[in-house]
Amino acid sequence: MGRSAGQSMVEFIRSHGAAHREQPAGAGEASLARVARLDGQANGEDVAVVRDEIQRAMQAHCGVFRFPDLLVQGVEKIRALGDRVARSGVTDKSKVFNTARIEALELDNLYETARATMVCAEARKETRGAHDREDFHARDDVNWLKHSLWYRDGDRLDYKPVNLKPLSVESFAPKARVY
Amino acid sequence: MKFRIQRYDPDRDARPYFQDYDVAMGPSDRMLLDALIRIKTVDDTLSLRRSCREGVCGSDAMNINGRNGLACVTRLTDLAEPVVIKPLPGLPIIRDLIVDMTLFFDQYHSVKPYVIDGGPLPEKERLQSPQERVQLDGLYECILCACCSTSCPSFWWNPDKFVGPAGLLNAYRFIADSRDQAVNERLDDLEDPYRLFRCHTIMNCVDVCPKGLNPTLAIGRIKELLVRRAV
Ligand code: SF4
Ligand code: SF4
Ligand code: FES
Repeated sequence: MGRSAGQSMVEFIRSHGAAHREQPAGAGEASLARVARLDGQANGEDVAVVRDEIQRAMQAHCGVFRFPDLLVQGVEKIRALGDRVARSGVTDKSKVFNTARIEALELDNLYETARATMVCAEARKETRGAHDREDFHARDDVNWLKHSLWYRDGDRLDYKPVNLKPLSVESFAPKARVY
Repeated sequence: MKFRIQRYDPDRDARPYFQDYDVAMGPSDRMLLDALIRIKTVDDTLSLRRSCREGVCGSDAMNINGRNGLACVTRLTDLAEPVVIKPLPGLPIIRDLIVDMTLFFDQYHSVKPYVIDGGPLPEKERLQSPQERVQLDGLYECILCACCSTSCPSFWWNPDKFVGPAGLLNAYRFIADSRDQAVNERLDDLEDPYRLFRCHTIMNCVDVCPKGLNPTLAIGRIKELLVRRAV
């Protein structure tokens, strides 16, 4: 497996020449702005405190067993944490191996991932994979055999079809996971 | 729980100093790494490396009450207070508990830690029998945490010339590999008053390895092969 994956990568890179797309003007500005925000943030709320609240919200509202009312509350809770994430700060402003800054940047990413997970989970009215949704115990391939896509811009939810046609091997029909 | 942690910020401090912390542990805090993460919630300027929190990545090696070890697999209940924590000895300090590992990794790379087989690329994987594979046990598990090399007095004196226990253990890992065709070149490279023979069997390395490996044994095997080759 690893070997053939490696061989495919080498082949892909060789056949694609200069693999990088032209960067748009101002690429990287957004990243620099995130760092500048942290450096300039006075009296920001502790990253560790906000992170803990995100983790607790996910654990309590979006665990393996999922309940409709808890999911709805969870979406609200996670949404409400957005402002606190945006105002979080670090006391460490050093340029040398600043792990506090790394954790603060990770907090932004953690927050978006948590929000996407919560919003998609609340909207998905079925039970799929290893989760169990209390009000829809069964898997529903008619309505929900599709990928959830959450967009931060506009806090928007969309879907795209699952590609069931592999390029080079026979496909097999999806079926329920039973234990 | 009480901690005394060595701090150093190159922008502010002329030299390292100790800072005392007294922090209440939470109910789920079991290992020293849990405690350090908790301390970091109180003082985010404390810098350390960590990743897997389960003794696999090798990034949170440090000197704990005078002994090198991984914070994530060191039980808090086993530690006398105040717990004195310092960076790994013998390597340049970048900041707080973070050392510059360049010398350590240079030595590791110098032993060519990969299978060398001059022949043409085979169609399929290079197979080993179970017996051949067993020869690598006790060697392949090394996570390159550097607990051993930075506890070795010979490595402290000559980190640029002595390969050190981690590098030598890994050198032997490829010497012992049935698929490797470069045993003689590997032995030539190590037959050197510094690269191999700075090891004086002090055994600090064996004492601290968090994976229970025995670099001294591997070093002994290399020396034995050199003797056998000579007669
Ligand atoms: S046995 Fe050799 S390598 Fe290990 S600590 Fe001693 S001198 Fe260093
Ligand atoms: S031999 Fe042990 S102590 Fe040395 S680097 Fe490998 S895992 Fe760490
Ligand atoms: S955090 Fe990975 S070995 Fe300790």
